Amino acid sequence: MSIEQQLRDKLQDCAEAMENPSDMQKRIQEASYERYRNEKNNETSKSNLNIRMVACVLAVVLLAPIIIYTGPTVAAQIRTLLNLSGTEDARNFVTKDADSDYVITNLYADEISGNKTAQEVLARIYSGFPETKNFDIANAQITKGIRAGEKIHIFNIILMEKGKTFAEPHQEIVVNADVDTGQIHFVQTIGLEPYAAHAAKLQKSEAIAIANAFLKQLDVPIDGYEAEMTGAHGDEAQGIGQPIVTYKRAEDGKKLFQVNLQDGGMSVAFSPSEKS
Amino acid sequence: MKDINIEHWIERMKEGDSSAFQVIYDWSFPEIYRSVVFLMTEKNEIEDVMNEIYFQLWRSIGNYDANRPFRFWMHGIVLKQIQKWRTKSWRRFRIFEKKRLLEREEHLFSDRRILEAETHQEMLTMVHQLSYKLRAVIILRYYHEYTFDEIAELLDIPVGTVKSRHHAALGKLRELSPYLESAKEQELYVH
Repeated sequence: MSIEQQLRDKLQDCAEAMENPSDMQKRIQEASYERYRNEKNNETSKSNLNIRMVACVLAVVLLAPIIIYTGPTVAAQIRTLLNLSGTEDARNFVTKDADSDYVITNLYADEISGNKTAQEVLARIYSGFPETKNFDIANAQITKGIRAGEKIHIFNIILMEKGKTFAEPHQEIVVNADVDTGQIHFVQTIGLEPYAAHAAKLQKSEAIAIANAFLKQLDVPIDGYEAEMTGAHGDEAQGIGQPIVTYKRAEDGKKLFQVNLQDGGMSVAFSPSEKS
Repeated sequence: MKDINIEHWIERMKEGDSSAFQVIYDWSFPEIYRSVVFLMTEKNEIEDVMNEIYFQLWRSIGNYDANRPFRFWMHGIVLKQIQKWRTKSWRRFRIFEKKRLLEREEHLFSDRRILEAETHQEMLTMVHQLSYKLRAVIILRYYHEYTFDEIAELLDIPVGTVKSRHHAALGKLRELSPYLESAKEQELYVH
């Protein structure tokens, strides 16, 4: 008998002679399944968090004109809204009420690469914040339909530092843009320069300088606009202690966009008449 | 390992049917366990590695390509996790500790409860005296009956390397074993 055949026979005999460790089998089954279920639940929670975040960002965008007048920062709105229970973890989800009927669709990677607006938005993000080229797309969605009586078709994307989760400190950028026109409605950054570590302590000139730098990185022209700060050292009731820099057109004083400075992050919301 | 309609149970598992986990687990456990016992020399670590294998198996099962044999895919996970454990283990121990561990490898499986017969114990001890690289080729070739091409894919190494390891392993086994008959050189390359 050849050595090969002997090996086959003996290994087979040896395997069959092994006792099946029933205790270990039970322990491993329970442990591995429980670990898997936990991870699955965490993923679902994270996914739901993403969906809620984008949905909330959308809500904030729609509320942007209101926010400009009522004061609280966009980030504060997002964080507050995140605490609300949200939508389902699904490819599409539909919202219908008296004056709204819209669908939010989670995008696949190939849909992002094949979408002109998505590519324009990504190019703009990468140009302004080159470090984001290494980020992962944590979430991308398109929302289409009628909301609050207004026709919308919006692309939302969240880029997040590679290997991080929403639950831990991380760098992130969120952008909302009109799918049809490519105009940006809203941008929020977390942990990306420029930002202030202690926004509430900023002097007016410092806050405006940081807001200007942020807009410059986003390639938003600010010539012909007057910057005005509220919040930390302005109207406390409006800014919950953190500075808001509003940009008004010099010629008629119309508010066109608003930069919110938070600790470790920035955001800008464009008024409906002046999407970037 | 009896054949079952694994695709059916995988589909049910993806739908959240916990009984499907049970079926897949009971079906696969004996073979995975035996493979790990053959491939690993540290008995005390087997449970941890088995845990990791099954965790990875559950989380990856959605990506399993039904056009390929499930056993092949499953063995890929087994080998990857053992390799991962070996890498971790190497980092964990300083060189002299590793050396000490290797020196006592052959005694770790002296626990007779794991095997029913002394001859089987001898076979296992002999296989464990091969280095991991040689051992993996022997187990995949003669226990799992994979071809050299399949072994190369599983181990992610060139086929030529598989053949040379196979050749070296048989040579070593001949040295170690008084009862394995020598074979002709041309018999070493069985395809």
